[in-house]
Amino acid sequence: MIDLSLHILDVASNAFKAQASLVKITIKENSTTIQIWIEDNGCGMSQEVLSQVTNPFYTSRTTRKVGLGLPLFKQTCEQTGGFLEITSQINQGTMVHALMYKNHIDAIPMGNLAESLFVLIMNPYNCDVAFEMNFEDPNKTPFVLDTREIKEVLDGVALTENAVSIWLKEYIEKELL
Amino acid sequence: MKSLAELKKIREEAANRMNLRAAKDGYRVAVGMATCGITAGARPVLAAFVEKVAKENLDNVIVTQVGCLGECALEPVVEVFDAEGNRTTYAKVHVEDVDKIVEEHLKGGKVVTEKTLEVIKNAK
Repeated sequence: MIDLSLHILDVASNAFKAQASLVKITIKENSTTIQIWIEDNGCGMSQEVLSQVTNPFYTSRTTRKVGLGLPLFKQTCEQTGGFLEITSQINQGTMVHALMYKNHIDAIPMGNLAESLFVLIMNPYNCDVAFEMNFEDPNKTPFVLDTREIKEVLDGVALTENAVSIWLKEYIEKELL
Repeated sequence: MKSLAELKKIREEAANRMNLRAAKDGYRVAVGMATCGITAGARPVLAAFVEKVAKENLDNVIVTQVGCLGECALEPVVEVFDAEGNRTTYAKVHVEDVDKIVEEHLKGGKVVTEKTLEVIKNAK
């Protein structure tokens, strides 16, 4: 992965496979670290599966024999001196907590977070997304986007309606870029 | 400044348009968005399809996301299904190919042969 926004998109997409109805993404940035929490209310994993998920030669999929999403994210964190922690409960959900030291020479940039968020909220799995970005500048108001709130405003009109999706894309870009 | 109040206006317009829409033959565009696809550049491809289809107001096209299709080395992979369910699979699709696929296939009904999985696989 060339940047963090792709890891976020990739790992948050696991929630869809886990049949979650909600995935929460929280990002906190300060002068030295970036922390990311990705939490879903999907099917969760057993301790046995959990102990294997950062092994690249483990995957739940059947189209191929490797699963690189979580192992790659873990490597991205650890190469900066940070960590990736995963907790999970069967039928409750899964939480991934990542910490990276952003001034480390091996730290990778955030990338196009707006595009990742846009693609996530456009997911066809009817999974809501609650996103919160806490910027490094403490005076900057955190950016919060919750598709449950948006759907309330839309009142039956789909997020994927042409005019709506264009508006949302521009809205997110304005707030995050 | 964009706000959710502004979204409400967009919503009313969209709801009115939905009512005007007639049943029609259409396409479903599915972009592979597993780790392999994402790493190969599927995200901007998906965003470009959504944006182009929305801006051109192609009401008969649905852009959606799918997982891994088992052709990881040829990602980004994009499948186009027509109204009868016939599938065209495109491989190594990048942002610069999106316009052509939308114009020729989704608007013109003509497959962009040089980007199909079969052609790209045989060219290797």
